[in-house]
Amino acid sequence: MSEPGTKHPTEAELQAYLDGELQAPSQTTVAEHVLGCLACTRRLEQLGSLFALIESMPDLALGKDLSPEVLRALPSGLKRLPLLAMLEAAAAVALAALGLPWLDSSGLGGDLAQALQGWGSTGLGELNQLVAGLNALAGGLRQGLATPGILPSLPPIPASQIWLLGGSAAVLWAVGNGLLLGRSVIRRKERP
Amino acid sequence: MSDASDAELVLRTRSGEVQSFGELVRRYQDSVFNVCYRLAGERREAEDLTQEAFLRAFRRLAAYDESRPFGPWMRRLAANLALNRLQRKTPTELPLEEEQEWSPGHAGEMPEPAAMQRERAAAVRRAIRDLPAHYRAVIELRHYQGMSYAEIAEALTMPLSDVKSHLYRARKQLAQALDPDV
Repeated sequence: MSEPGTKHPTEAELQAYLDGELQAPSQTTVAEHVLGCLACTRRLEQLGSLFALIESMPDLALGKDLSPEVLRALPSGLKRLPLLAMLEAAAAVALAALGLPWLDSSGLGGDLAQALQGWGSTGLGELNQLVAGLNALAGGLRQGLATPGILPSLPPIPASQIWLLGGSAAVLWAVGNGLLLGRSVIRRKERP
Repeated sequence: MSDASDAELVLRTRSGEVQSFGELVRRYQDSVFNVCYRLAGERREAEDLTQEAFLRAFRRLAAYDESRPFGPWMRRLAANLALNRLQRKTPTELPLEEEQEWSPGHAGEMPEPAAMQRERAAAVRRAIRDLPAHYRAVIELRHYQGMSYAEIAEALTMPLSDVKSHLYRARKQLAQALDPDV
């Protein structure tokens, strides 16, 4: 039994006790009090039953599969351009940019350089032009490899081009992983 | 049904294999829906929130630590989303036909204990739904998400003292609704 005059814990303290949220000394004090106090033991049992009742509420069945809708609503850009593809694209652009000074100096890839420059100036680019350029490059390389001593040495690359290259890759990465994700605003269905 | 672990599915999704995310949705859609339902109190709203929660999770997948369990992370994200929505919305009445879904209307067709269980669950659901939004929020986070008072305070950006008083009053109201003698 609790000693006469022992202060009963408040309702809030009993709740915190059950939640395990009282500081160590208070937790012990309440525990000791409850052991000797029938009224508080009963109150604690009622609270415990309430907590159990709340937590025993069974889950409702959703009753349908939302995954097709969720997949449909995913940002379309991401579906087509996963991180790996974006990195591949960045690497391709980087290689092309690195190759331009060499191609210009060798004269082997004039068509390709022209194509790439045209692509850059128009913004969107023409795939056909690029393919034609690549064909020209392949032809040029075959010719160069067949003639000993015709392959030029790599000229030094200006720092500005390296900065440009790094910057372009960073922008591509940021667009692929940030902007496209940011665009995926959820369109909630209008209800009647 | 894939045998892959949640962490594997997350990694595959990150590398662009979005079908793996579909598997994560199938695994957790029921529990996420229930979080949203308890907070929104309305089925269609809860379905919308569930879908939106998964889309949000997809966008935040890069920030997810795959060494921790996916389920609690997903449910917490859904709870935060639903709470934000609740704070911006005025409460609405539940349509009657939806109410009937879990009322013991077909009690005669089932054994007594099951019917009673169903009736009790319906009563708890109604009692929670009738709480003010900020009381419902603390009940959800404490009793269904297992958060500590400090975590609830952080999640709801409210002082610890408010968490305690909201929980106290919410439980008091629930006790009265579920047992008028309390």
